Amino acid sequence: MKGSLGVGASTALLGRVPAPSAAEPGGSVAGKDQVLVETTVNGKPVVANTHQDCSALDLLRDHLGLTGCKKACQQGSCGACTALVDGVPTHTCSMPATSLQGRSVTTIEGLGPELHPVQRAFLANDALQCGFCTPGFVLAGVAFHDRWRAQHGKAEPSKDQVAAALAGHLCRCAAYDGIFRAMVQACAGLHDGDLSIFPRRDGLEKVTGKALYTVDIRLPGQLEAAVLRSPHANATLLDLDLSPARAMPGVKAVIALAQPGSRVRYAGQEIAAVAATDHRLARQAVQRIQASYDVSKPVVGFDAALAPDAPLVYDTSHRGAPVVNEVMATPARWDGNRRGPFATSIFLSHRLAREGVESARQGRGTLVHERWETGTQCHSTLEPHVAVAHWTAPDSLLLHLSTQACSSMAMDIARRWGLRESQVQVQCSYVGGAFGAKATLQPETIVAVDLARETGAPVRFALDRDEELVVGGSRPAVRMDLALAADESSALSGMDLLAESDSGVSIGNTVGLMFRLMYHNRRKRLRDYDVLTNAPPGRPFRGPGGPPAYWALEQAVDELATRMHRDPVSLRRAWDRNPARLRLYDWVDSLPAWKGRQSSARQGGRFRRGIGLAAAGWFYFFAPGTQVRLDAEPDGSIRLTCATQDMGNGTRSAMAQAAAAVLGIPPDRIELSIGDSRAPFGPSSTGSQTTASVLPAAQHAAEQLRDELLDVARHRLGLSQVQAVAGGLEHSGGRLAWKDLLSHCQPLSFVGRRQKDRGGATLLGNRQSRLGRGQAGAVQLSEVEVDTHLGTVRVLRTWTGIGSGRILVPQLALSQVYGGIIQGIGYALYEDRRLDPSTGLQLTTGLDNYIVPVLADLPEMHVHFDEDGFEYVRGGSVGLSELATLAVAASIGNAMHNATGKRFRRIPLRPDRVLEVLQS
Amino acid sequence: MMVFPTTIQQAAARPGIIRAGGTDLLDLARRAGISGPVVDLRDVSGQRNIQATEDGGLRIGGLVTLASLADDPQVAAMYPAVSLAAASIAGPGIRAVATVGGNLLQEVRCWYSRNPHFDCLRSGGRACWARMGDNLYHVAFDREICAAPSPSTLALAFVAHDALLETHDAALHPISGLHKVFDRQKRTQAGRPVLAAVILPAPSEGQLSSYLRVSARPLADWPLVELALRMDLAGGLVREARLVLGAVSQSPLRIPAAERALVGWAPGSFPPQEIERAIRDSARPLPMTSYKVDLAAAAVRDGIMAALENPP
Repeated sequence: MKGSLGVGASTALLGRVPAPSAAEPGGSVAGKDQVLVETTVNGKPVVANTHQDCSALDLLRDHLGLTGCKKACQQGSCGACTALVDGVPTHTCSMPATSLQGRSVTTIEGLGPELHPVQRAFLANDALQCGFCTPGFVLAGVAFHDRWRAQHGKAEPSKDQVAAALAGHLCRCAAYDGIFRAMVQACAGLHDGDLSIFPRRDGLEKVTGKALYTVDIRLPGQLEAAVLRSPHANATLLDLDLSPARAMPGVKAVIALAQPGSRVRYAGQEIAAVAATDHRLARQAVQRIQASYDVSKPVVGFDAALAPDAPLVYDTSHRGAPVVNEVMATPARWDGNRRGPFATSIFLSHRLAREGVESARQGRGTLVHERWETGTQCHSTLEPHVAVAHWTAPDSLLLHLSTQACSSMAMDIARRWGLRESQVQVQCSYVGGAFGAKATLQPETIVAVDLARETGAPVRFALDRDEELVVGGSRPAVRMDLALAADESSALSGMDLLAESDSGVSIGNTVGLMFRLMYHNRRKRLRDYDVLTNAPPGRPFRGPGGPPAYWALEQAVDELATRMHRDPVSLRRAWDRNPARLRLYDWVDSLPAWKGRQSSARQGGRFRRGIGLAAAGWFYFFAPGTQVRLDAEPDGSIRLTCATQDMGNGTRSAMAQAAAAVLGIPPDRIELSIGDSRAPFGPSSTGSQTTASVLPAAQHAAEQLRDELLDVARHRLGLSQVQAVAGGLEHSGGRLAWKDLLSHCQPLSFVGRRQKDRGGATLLGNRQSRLGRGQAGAVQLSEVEVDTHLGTVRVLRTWTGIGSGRILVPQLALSQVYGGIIQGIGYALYEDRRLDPSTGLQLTTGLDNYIVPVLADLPEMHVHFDEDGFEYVRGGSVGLSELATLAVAASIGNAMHNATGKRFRRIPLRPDRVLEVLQS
Repeated sequence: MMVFPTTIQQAAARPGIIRAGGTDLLDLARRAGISGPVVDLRDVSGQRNIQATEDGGLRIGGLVTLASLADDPQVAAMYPAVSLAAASIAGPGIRAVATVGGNLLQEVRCWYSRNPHFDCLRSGGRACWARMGDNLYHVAFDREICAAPSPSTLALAFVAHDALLETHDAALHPISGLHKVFDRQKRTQAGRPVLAAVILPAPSEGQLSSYLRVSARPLADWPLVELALRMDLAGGLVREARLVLGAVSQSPLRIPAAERALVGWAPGSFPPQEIERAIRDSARPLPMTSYKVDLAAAAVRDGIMAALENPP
């Protein structure tokens, strides 16, 4: 607490606060730039001393500890910081703290104690995933609901009305469908009564703002960190003088992160870090650090990187080049700024592929040979990358970390700082979005840990939004030359891909893998190149390599079908061998919207509509080392413990459901303890492997409990004809609930393991992640409307078929799919990281110019789960998170073609590009 | 150092940046890492109302929030373009705080000038980075050295209505002189003018007006092109017209030839080619902004249709 008096300041305390001087003719003048503010927060008088540049959000969060107000975009674009000011939803990050003078503020903590109908509606409709944006949405929703009900009774608001009321609120998980349904139902009075059953285990904590994210952690004596970043994309650090920063009062440590003489390869690269008593001071200290550079011309974008005289991004050594994906980069040849090829196919296939393409080119068959391009997409999770490091003893580290890999992060940290795994504890109860960017040890963690060691105090380092957008991770831009050929019998006769990925200074792109995954055929020549540029490293992003690959492949297939006058479904069915997708094609054929689609030639006028189909596949990964501990107490309580995490994907709910199903009890009877690396090993939430890992382990643990209790009944209690039934067991003399049996036992503990699948798995991988047999499949249809005058595109309806086995918690699975679809819409229409071409400095540094979808983008979504085909998998389920987003952009591309008769080869589909193609 | 004057006359006498809602100044200060003296208008009691003027127009106080402006039934009835423009800006959570004065006098939204690593014409540098670099969202009707488009949506609607600006000293200035009256170079000097209100003249009988915004995302997005249109009718024909384009030039841009082309026609029966030609003729796009010319030409037709849907 920095000099504040806090909530609950008594009137006696208020009396001692000197009133602001109002004597001067120019109005009241505050001393220096500190200003006293008197306001009311959640019904209590508050007096706080604030800085002139302090926002209302800073006051609420930092001075008053009201962490339900989230700091995310810092510029009024996302609404996570919303509070009600005199009853009106307000973005508090963009309101000066001084403006709260005499106002009355209600934060999410001030609702209640009863849940508001909007909160109940959010829970019932699963209108949230990671939950970070939820308090802001809830407060804006509460204000809208209360006004609506006063004016319209129980009438239902329209989508436009809800979208307008919630404009300026961003949900990066894209839970907009649930949010919209929740708002309509709450307004219609459907949630005025008691709370109904809701599917998300940690939902209550999220709708009430009680969920504490890493960014909300405040330890006694905690320092705040800030980092000096290179303003040059290609330079040599000449000199670094930390002393001016060190000399500032309140600065506790300053460390160098780069040494004089070292190369700087991207703008935003870490140079030095400061820990100080507050964040503003830390940032000021960073500005005092003197760094000088020998600046060279940077390489920005594909063309600059591949120009004959291009400067080399890695001129002497490329050792230590970061890897963009979760898997290790395979060795490859470096040729200037191009590295590769990483060939996903063998030489014989190459020859066959080239022959097939050549033959089609000469008229024996059909050929589609095009270049496809995708933009760079930033993860931009609403909770930024953040770590709070606390050395509780010289050899013992407690790290609060926003991560999707609790267990493996603890191992990596132990290795880096020379500790035993038992000496590192990583905690992450709630994760405000990750999408792949929070899986590996990155500078933000290293900075916090090193500064905490240096100062002997807890240190928090949270990226600001501009840093998050620059270094927080991105999906690389890709350009693909793809030749796709079919022979005269319309069989796939050649697929020749040259993919180049710009993941900045990082390597190891594997776009070609996706082309191998689809349409099993020998005649493939798949070559992947990294193109090195002076841009920040990419990081894995939901289905790494997938959305760009399908953007090219699935449009090429569609184009080939058009040229061959073949139905796009029947062509895919002829080529495809994936059993899940083959069943899904039948489902597509049954859809009235698909059957009734019009050809582009039959449309005229300004607004054109079209429907497009795309298919996708994804790997089945699981973590064989996963363990779930089950503790059962004599009082009947049952708890599952695992060092995995829930980043909004619903890990908690899936674990509880899996164990509850074995025991035949309601899932809310099972307590959960996750997000702590000291628990038994849990999977990282990468590669869509969480469910396929924890579900069987939780199930196995519950089975052991069940069997033990059956044993107790038979042998200790001497019961006969014992058999398990829902909720307990039956015996010759009646029924006994598990709870009753537990009262006869000492505390019981079992470790459930992730047992092998029937028939085993592949040899690829290790205990943290292994490739299973079989692949999940998806089909995606999108209907678009194109405004041919203004070049704007709206996705109106989508149909998604998912074949990933058994669906355990349908509402949460749907939330995952919906989120994946809308993220895919953002990828296709808006998301566009931009770098200045001459300096390499990033231009899109805020959520006002890095555009992501809002509620108004929500299409009408239909989802079909095909649950068959994975019976050999323990638990019967493989992941679906990535599957849901892979084919969205491609389906939109095909829909654009169906609508306009034109082929759009570059995303995002900005109005300028759409107009350009339409005019061509 | 910050002061809280209680009148705008006091505010004008103090040095420092004038802060009304502060929605953007907070972000600018955070990005720059430093901030100078602030003259905060929080305690100014007047200028928060929308009042009828003697000649039948409206006086909109400079501290009126965008939400109040957008929700005001009188404004909606008399000046649909102003009402629609206000409602199109950002989201409700910003409109609750942001003010009319702040919207008119905000800094440009150029991604170079806002990035502390670029020294540009606005921050004492010698070059316009956008001109040489990524100008996708910059001007297409290029009129000045700095390539950033005027950021104020309200200014557009006010220009369409020939609004007057009232400064703290009760002087009145035509809205076309916005950036001359409020000279950016002097914005922190004591004695610079402070906006008191915007005066909208009485709408003529049967006046039609509209505001139209073209953006990539349907809501809460910056405009790629925006347009405000006013048509005064006499005997069912257009007597006088204002056609103002925004987000495409350094100031709200009237297209006089297009305005002339509208005169004498019945609303809805215009020669669109002539208007489009007038727009295209006055365009001077940057390398990446010729699409904005197309959008402007296309938006005019929508703007006229929208005006017909908002009869007084």
